[in-house]
Amino acid sequence: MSTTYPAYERPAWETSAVGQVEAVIISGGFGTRMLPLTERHPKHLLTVGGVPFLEHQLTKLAAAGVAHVVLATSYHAEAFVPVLGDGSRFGLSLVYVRESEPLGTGGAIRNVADALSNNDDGAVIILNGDVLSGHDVTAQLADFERPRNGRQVGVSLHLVEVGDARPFGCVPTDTDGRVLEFTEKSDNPVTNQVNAGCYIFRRRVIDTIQAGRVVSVERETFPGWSPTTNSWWATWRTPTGATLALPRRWSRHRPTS
Amino acid sequence: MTGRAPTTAITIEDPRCLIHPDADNQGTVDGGSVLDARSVVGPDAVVTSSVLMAGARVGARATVIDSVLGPGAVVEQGATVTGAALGDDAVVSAGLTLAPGTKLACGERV
Repeated sequence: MSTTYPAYERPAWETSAVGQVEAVIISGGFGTRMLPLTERHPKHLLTVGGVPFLEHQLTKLAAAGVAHVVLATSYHAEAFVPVLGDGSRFGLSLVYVRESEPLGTGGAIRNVADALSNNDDGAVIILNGDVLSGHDVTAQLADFERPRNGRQVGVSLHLVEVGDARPFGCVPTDTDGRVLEFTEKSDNPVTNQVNAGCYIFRRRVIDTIQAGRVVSVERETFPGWSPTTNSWWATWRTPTGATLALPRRWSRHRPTS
Repeated sequence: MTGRAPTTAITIEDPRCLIHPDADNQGTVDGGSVLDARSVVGPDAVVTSSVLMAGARVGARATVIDSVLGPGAVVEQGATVTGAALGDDAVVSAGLTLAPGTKLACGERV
């Protein structure tokens, strides 16, 4: 189902460092709603604030201590390598896994499993490649590694509180931050917490997603995990708002008239 | 489409404009507009709350509001576009006023 390029060689840290953080960026979407701007480019490479969108995410991941990133690509997959290279200029290693056909968010995550380390207890940050958040990934990681009732957290979700949740699926949680359910868009949302598109998975959890078919984590994987057994869930909540990192060389000025 | 490592922070609500050092701005640019590399804003042209991607050009006395011009797109002199999205290398002819919200495919000329 996939082609990995350039040839993937497992870096030395995978066999020597325990707990090393990896990341996956899901970057396979067609960008239909952004046409015609995405007719010739993946939306993830459109310039935002002066640099390709994914550069913001890669810079943020590097700052959070991520050493290895897997880009799950599909639409215009050939466009990524010339722009982002091997990731060295961001201070991390970057490899690309191309889906031969769109597999959805869950399918894309499962599809890159072979490009991740074999450290079952490792943390894997998963970002939707079209969402930029100003939240503190490092703090979410620290929270992810905090055991709950003696149990290791399996999945952490970044939730964001919005003023009007009607356009979104909602994620109600209990007082301990455990996910109760995932709801579809509704005129009467049960909470103003919505999925912000940044997850942290324990490495071994990725292998539980069925391989080789279309899977949506939002509609299938997450709802399929029963609330009665979800003691491994954690959530990280922040208010809305984001910052963009911008190139220093560009001039910034107020309106001229 | 090539980039460089981002180094400074700004909020997304910031109204300041971003002008690439290789852009050529001879007009009025405001409302948080972004001019990418090799983009050109001609004399007496007005660009408000818009993004000009690499190599996009706005001719003299043209007006661009709330729009995104893809790489190489051109709004010729005296034309007006509002709320538009122009694909790569699309062209709006001189003096034309596009209906608000118009989208042009890559290479399309009107």
